[in-house]
Amino acid sequence: MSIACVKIQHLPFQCEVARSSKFAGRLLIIYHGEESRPIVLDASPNARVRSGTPLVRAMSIHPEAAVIRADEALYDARWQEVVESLLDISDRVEDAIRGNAFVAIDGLSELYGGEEQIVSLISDATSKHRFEARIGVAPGRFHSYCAAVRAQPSQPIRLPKYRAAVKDFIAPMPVDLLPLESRAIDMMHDFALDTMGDLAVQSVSALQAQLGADGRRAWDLVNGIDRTRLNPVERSRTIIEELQFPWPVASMDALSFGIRTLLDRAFAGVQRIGKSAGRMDLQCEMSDSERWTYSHTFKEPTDSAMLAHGVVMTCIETIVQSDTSPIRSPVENIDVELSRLGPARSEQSGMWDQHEKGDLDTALRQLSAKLNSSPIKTVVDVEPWSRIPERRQALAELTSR
Amino acid sequence: MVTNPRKTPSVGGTYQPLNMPIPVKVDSSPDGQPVSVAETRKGRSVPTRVENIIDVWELDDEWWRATSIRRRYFRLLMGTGRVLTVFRDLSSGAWFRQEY
Repeated sequence: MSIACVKIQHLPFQCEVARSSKFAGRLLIIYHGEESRPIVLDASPNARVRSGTPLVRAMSIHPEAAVIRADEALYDARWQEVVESLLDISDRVEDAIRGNAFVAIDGLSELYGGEEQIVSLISDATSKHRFEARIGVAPGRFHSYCAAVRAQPSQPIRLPKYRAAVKDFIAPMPVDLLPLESRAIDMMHDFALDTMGDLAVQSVSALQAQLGADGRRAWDLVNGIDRTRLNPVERSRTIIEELQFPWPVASMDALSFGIRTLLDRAFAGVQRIGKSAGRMDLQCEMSDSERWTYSHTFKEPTDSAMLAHGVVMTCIETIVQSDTSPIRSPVENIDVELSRLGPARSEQSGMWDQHEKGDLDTALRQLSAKLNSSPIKTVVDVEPWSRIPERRQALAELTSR
Repeated sequence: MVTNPRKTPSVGGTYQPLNMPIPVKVDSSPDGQPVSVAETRKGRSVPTRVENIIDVWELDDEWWRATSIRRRYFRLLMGTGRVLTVFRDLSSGAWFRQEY
């Protein structure tokens, strides 16, 4: 197996510098945690402040540093962009933690023309998102990580496939890098086994006697043996639906109805694949070609169109009251994109279920899945007061809730 | 608008307006009053005489848009005893049948 480890050090710091150039070249401390006890999440590389340090202590070391609260959603989103780009290269990418990913590259040489080209593509994939990544390639997951730790940005390290060479490479590295519990690492230091080379010369039985299963695993790793399999991520899916009004709508009721119809369809798609949506991006295109975009990240992933509709309409009702409302012209077209699809959430059902409605929902779901749209329509009031007769009612797809 | 390659394939419009105007053949007098309206009987289009014009009203809407809506509606009592509503599109001159 050949694995490339992609390691983006100081990812939060790099995100903040990319967002605001005023932090470039400055000492920056990013904190998170409770307001009463904030701790450092990341800091400028030259600050030499470790993650997890109490903010008070970090500020006492660097009183001149700019201090900002972490925008975890931004860091996660930027990291996901990187993971998506890596998935364009290989379908086996493990998103270990934010800033660390493992890419299985064996079997891809024929496709890309060699391992060097693949590493170059991986490097390009991170640099196009304006990140400086360290890349290490090795036969095993852990050893690729060790190589990435030693690599410099834009200077990947590729280890040979021989165990002995891998063993020699990691020998001077500290045992703290081993993926073991801190108790086991502390015990190694107590025995003056500070580097992987120190550990490699021990007998496997001695390590097993002291550390149990961790001892065996540590011995394998420091001797260049890593049988850990990658746990590849599934490429994130999105559901996109579009609704084109037969005429530009200017009334709130018609817009609300259109959005509800669209969300019903989109969430029916989410339910069909047994997922919940974590994010919703809605875009209204108006008759003057202007666009209004609304993005919402749900506190908890949902599969409820009703909930999403409530969120959107609350926002629209608020903005249309302002003088600078971005929705100034009739709306012609709406798009919705549901993303961050995760496992379906279960809800406690009522004790007295409405069986008839449940049966209808089931039938509709089955028909929709079979025909890719609901064949059953319902008449809905769109603008019942309109002077133009064809705008008063419309037929809409009846979808399961 | 830029097309999204990851777009979920979807079928048809979900929003189908009801009571759309249906084109109809109408003979009118020089002053624009309908004289006869073609009605379909046994699959054939047969002109039916207008017995009486019960009501006339105009609709002028969306004048602020590029294509405004300007219609003159007639509620007609037909020679067959049936009541029919037709309108003339004042922009194009075409006749349509539509329940109001």
